[in-house]
Amino acid sequence: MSLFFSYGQISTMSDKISATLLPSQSILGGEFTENPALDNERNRHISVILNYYTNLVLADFPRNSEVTKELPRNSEVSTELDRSTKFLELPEVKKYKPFEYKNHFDKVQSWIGHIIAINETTFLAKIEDANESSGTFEDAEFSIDDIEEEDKKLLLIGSIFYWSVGYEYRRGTKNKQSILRFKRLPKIDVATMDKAADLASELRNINWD
Amino acid sequence: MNYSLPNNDEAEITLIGTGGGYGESCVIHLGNQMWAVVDSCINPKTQQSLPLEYLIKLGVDVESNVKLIICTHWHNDHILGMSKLLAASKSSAFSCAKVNDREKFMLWLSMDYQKLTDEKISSSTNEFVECLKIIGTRKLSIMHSYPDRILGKFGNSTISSLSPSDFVIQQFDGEISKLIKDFGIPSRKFVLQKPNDQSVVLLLEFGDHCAVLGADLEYTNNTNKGWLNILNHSQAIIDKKASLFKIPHHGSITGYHENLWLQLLKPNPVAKLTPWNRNKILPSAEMIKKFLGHTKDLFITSPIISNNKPKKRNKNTEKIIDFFNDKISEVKFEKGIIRSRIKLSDSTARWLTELEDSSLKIEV
Repeated sequence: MSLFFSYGQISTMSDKISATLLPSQSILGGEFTENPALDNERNRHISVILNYYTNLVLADFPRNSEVTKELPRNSEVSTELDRSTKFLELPEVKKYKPFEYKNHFDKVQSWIGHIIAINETTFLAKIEDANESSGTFEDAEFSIDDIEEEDKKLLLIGSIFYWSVGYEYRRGTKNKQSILRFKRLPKIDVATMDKAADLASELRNINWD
Repeated sequence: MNYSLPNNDEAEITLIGTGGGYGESCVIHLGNQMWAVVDSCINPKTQQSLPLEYLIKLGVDVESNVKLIICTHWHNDHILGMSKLLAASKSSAFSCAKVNDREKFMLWLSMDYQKLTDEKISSSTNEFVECLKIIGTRKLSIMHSYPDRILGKFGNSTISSLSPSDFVIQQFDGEISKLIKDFGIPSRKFVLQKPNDQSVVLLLEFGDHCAVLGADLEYTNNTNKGWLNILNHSQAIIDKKASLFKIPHHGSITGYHENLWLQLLKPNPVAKLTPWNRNKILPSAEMIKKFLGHTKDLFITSPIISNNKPKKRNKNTEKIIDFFNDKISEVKFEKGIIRSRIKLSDSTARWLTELEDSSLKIEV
């Protein structure tokens, strides 16, 4: 039975508890599962020990350090474990710090596209790799149902959108994710209009026979 | 294919295709080392202009000997790479379809150009504006293309435009107004609804030999535009029959009219086309059958292939893309070159056609 953490592992057998820890700033959490080979009291006992360690922040362990110690016998340990009891001689133990999950999106591939045709339930788009300055492009068909409700008003021929696929990390879990968002910009500002007018004026000077 | 310059007494018409998505172009030798280029296309991997690459490979003095560049219409598959070609062709004139309301046209171009400046999107507008800037710097005049206009005489060779019709030119003014009105939606690319109507069809005369390059012009029942307008009203084509034809609009049914083949072309002409291997595959088997009814010399720049696979990426990336969308298809780059040469001084000569890369002859 063991608890796995992002940077290491604390595990128990029937009579031992051990910790293998990689260089770490914190224990990130884990899940306790009862060992059916042990009786309820022993399981509860181990659970208390493990929960104790998960509530600690371990810092600056030597790489791949390993500590092992025999577990106290049932009769010697109360399930109301005294939190000051040390089962393992861990080099440094900081105070409890609540775990903070960091949600983020790891992009695997992204495109910039524009709509070239709209059908009843789908739209067709030309998509170009956003992270490549050259190379072939692709045509893709998307279901209109997959578009967020507020974006549906932007479904027009020529509309520009950004599409990314990757992995979303949320509360410690990793899931595949697809994000399609249409380009949104305020109405053309005066500066852009001025630049366009200047260019138009330059181009108007070209002679046409 | 032998990459050597044609003789001064030889005309050449070379069609370069890419499979559909990256454009097509015709390189023309007018005799005496004078060259013209119609449209441009690119290699998407290098972003280089393919007609420019071809001319350089032949050993053409591009700076001095390219005399005319023609933009048949500003669709991505006809204009990409044109600014690089024009920049290298320092002695070249430039021609495109006539625009009546130039003030409005320039404003529209400038607005679209400004809008797309920050976006990584291949844009025909940007390419066209870059061409105009080069023309402005060189203090050249743009030659308008319209029905029966001689764009240039080069020794015994002449290039004339047969379209767009007056009706289409007038219609375009209205379309620009609408597009400028749409400019208020900044998150959209401008999309011309019927750019093929504005295509410039060209008549090439090399002494006694003639050729017609059909661009993307289509057939409609309206005699004021399209092929019917040329067949019914053009003076330039009277008494002329072409022995070489660039089939319009990837051999689509809308680019076909039987009278075009009977009235404008000699029997069994050399016919060339580029496929459109994207969402709607062109030409269809039915159209190929029709073309083969008119000629035994039918050439295409690459096979007609429907691709329904996305680009090759690493396995994990492919898996996650497929998980969310299995309807992605890469628009493949399939370069093909069809070169035809003919002796100018021999009125009985026939075109000698050579193939390179993916191009092939279509036979029954």
